[in-house]
Amino acid sequence: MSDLAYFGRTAARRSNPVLPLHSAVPSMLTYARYFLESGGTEPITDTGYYDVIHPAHPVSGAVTVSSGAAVPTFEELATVSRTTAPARPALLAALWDRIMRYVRMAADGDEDATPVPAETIEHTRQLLSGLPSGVELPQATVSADGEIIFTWFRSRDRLEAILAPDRHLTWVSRIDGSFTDGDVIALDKDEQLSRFYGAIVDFFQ
Amino acid sequence: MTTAAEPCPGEALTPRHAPSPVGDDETVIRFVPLRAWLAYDGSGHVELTSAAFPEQELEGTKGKSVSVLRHMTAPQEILRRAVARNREPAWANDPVVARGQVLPMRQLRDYAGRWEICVNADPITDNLGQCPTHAGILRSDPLPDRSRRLERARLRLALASIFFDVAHLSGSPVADRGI
Repeated sequence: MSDLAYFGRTAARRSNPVLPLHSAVPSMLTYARYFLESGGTEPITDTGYYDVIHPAHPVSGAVTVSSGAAVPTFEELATVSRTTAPARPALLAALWDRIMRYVRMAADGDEDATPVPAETIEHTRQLLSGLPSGVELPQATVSADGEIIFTWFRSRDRLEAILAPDRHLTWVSRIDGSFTDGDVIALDKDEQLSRFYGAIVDFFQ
Repeated sequence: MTTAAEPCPGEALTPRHAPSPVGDDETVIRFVPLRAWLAYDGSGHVELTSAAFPEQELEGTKGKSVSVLRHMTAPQEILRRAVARNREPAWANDPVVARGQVLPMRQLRDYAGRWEICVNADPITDNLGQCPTHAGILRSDPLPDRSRRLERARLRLALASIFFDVAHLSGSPVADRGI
């Protein structure tokens, strides 16, 4: 049997746009191929059903692997199989693992980098755990300034939020190629996070 | 390109060893040493985030700048330096770089309509040797003003958008590893 990958998309999350299948496929295949060839957090070695967690297009898929193949490969997308979204806690855990890995990497090998303070990490935890359930989880990156940066995409539009070590959260967006100011909030005032959450909801509407 | 009377007088200069001032029509290359600088839009396109443009570099802290190589840099020199700067083991043989055009950077303006970014020829000699085609990107107003957070955040997002061509040096796309 040749190697085949079957992937389904999810439309379960309100903020996740339903894309034509052909536009979503390359990213899914790329991501699945990473799992097969590099061994992700859950390496695929046997035929079966697997959750493939992708920030913009969370999918579940079935993979059939040729017996005895050293490095499984894909031939062609065949058909949609399942449309169950990965559980939010699993996505959040994966995101958190990534953030902590980046926090460590940003500090290693760059003597001028400002380590991300423990307080900023705690603010990150609070920010992510408080995101409204209908809001897509962001991608997160870490700067040499000790910041944690959150990025959301809606097609080519983008919202970026910078959580700085001095307890300020600043966000801006790119809409139709133009840059738009968001706002700045101090994170020592809990009630202000709701403004940020509202801005993300607005971004996806 | 600006003149000495404008906010970026260094743009008109040709420092010793530099081939020329950086032209508006040039493309510059930013090394991407970490996957922690990248975000994926879900359709296979990858972009830099603001992490690629630290405040300390934009402000010129400790003599720093946002380090880039000019388009006339020899390919083997780009590869040699990219490999040395890379910190992602999976990219060791084929580092990732971002390319951006100079003119859109120089067209960025702050709220007051002032020139926001300078792109200066900046030859360096470092642990990898001499690099006459190195250039540095700096804010025209280097004074860190913490009250201008939105302006600075918008500038970093704009720079990330200008360096829109992100790929391995071989031209291969950067694989999306998802969350």
